[in-house]
Amino acid sequence: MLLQNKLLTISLCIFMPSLMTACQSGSPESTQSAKETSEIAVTDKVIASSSDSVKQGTAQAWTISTKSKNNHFDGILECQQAPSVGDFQNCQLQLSQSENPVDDASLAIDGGMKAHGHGLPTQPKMLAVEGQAGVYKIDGLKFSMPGAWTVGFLIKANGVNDQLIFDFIV
Amino acid sequence: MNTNPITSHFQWSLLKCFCSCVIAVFISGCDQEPQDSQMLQKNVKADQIVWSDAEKVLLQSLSIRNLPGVGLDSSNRYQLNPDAIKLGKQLFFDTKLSSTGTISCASCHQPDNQFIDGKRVALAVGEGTRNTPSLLGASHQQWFFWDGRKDSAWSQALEPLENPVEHNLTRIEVIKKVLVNPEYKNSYRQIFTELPSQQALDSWPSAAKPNGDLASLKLWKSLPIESRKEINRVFSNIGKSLAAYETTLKFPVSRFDGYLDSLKTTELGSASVDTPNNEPSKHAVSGFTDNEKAGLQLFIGKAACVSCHHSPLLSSQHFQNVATGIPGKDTGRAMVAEAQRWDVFNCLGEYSDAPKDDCKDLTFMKNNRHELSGSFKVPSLRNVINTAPYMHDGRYQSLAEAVKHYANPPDTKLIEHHMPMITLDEREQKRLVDFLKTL
Ligand code: HEC
Ligand code: HEC
Repeated sequence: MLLQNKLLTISLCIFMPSLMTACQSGSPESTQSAKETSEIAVTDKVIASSSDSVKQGTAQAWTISTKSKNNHFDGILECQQAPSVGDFQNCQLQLSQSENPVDDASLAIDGGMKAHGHGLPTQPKMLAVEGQAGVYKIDGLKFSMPGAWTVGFLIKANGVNDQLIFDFIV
Repeated sequence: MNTNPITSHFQWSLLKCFCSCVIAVFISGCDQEPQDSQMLQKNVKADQIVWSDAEKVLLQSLSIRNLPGVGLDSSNRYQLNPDAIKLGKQLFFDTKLSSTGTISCASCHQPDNQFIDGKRVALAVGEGTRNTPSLLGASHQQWFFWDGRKDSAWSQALEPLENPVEHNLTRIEVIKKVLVNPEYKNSYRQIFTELPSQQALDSWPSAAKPNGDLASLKLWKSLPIESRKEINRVFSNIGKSLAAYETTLKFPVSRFDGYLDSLKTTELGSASVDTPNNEPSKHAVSGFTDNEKAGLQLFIGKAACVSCHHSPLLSSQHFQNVATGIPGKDTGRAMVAEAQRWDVFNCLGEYSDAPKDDCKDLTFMKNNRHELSGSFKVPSLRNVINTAPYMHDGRYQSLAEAVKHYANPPDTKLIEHHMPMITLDEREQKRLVDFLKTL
């Protein structure tokens, strides 16, 4: 039913024009926040025994962390694999406040590509993960094209409202 | 779904390295732009185009070799049933399935004409408002119609049958016309095992349908709920047969695919650089002319066509606004997304064979009207030279006009759209057209 192409995921990076447009259409905030507030880390989580590892590829967890706009919360966006074009993404948000996990947050997710002026192609939903404090599963997240994406969360928790904004390249 | 052999560990790391470079450029700000354009400039001379390793991976991701033979649809368990394929084919060509007795699916989707009609907008019992898309590769679509208002091929197939300007029947008329034919009736019984009783058939009022005028709606509501369900079940089975036939309609392997194959072969030798020296002659089947190559380079580079027209289908299967919508007349996706959730023939409905989990695209579908206004499904560009006219309303007769559409996009402050803000001069447009012709 659906066409999936993992290759694109990575190859998008050769996509200079869209990056250039990102610059032209003036989103310095996004570049800045990518530089200053978000940290991207790629952790090798599981590597199959040597003979398998090439065939199966490495299962890599991908994380990016940032502080909320008004510094109330810390957020870690974690995906089972680096974000890719076409497939549903397997990601979750870890939310904490002064290093304590935040439960019972009311969360709304939104996002898009600033350079192209469009939002996320789907309407993802947030779901608290039972038994894991401060962890919320993101269901239904997809990216429709390679390039610079923003995914943001409106947070209402512990009596305050704030926003978490993640900028990254798919 | 389709794992690709070229995603080797090696390439992963190589790309990661490449990516970080690009990201570095990006993050370090916009003052680097001259450097980027210089890099692009450098490659403009077509006979010197050298694909980087990352570009090669991107190029191979567009190859038809990565497209499975059929796009599988778990909402139709008869999709690959040979008897369903045969029945679907017969129905596809049967003009009896229309109010005038003259229209079949093939009237508009003509098999000897790439399954299109070549008209600006479709014409049957009446005139439509949209251009007839080709059905080659139809099973690979995620969404059907220019606005994607159907989420499966079988559900799509039901609509033209009841469309007043197309086949102009009611679903009960369709069922009666199919089951009155002894051969169809036999095949139907064989495939779907159950048949409505003759008594039931006779009792269903032909004019009843849930989506017509008030009179037909009243008649429909007068039927007991079980009858309505049985009618919908048989109707959807007819759709599933038509969809089964559509799985046999495939894209041809294009000259572009041949070129990609040849790139791979060259790579197996010691030379990984694609220069005029080790490339087959210009007009060989798999060869690419300088202009075509330059067009391809624009397609994946400066012109950024690949951001929407990607994967082997050359379509993201998402909805984008390229400033073709007409407010008040046709705003595309915005007009249909909300209703799609309530379509009884969707992936989550009772006539679908799919487990709920397979319907994620419907479950998480975006339906914000404002945001979707002017968006249409990104169409496949495979075989595009043979499927004029172009766009949802057939506004462009030639590829040259379609490409010109992207050459100088309007300011997004004036018109909302998602096109890359680049300009393409005439030579660049010509090169893009030359490239599109190879698809
Ligand atoms: C009057 C001409 C006409 C007839 C008859 C017709 N179609 Fe179509 N078909 C169209 C047009 C026009 C569209 C696009 C309409 C839209 O997007 O709103 C279309 C769209 C489609 C699509 C979607 C393709 C895509 O890429 O989204 C499929 C599949 C299809 N038709 C199959 C059929 C089948 C099966 C039948 C017979 C039951 C049929 N059509 C009868 C004109 C026709
Ligand atoms: C932002 C996404 C996007 C980008 C970038 C894009 N396209 Fe499109 N393309 C679309 C959409 C959406 C349509 C359908 C519009 C409609 O039906 O009104 C389309 C339609 C087309 C068509 C008509 C196909 C048909 O069968 O009618 C052609 C040809 C085409 N694009 C070529 C290109 C080329 C060449 C480029 C690069 C210069 C490009 N596109 C860039 C989204 C995009």
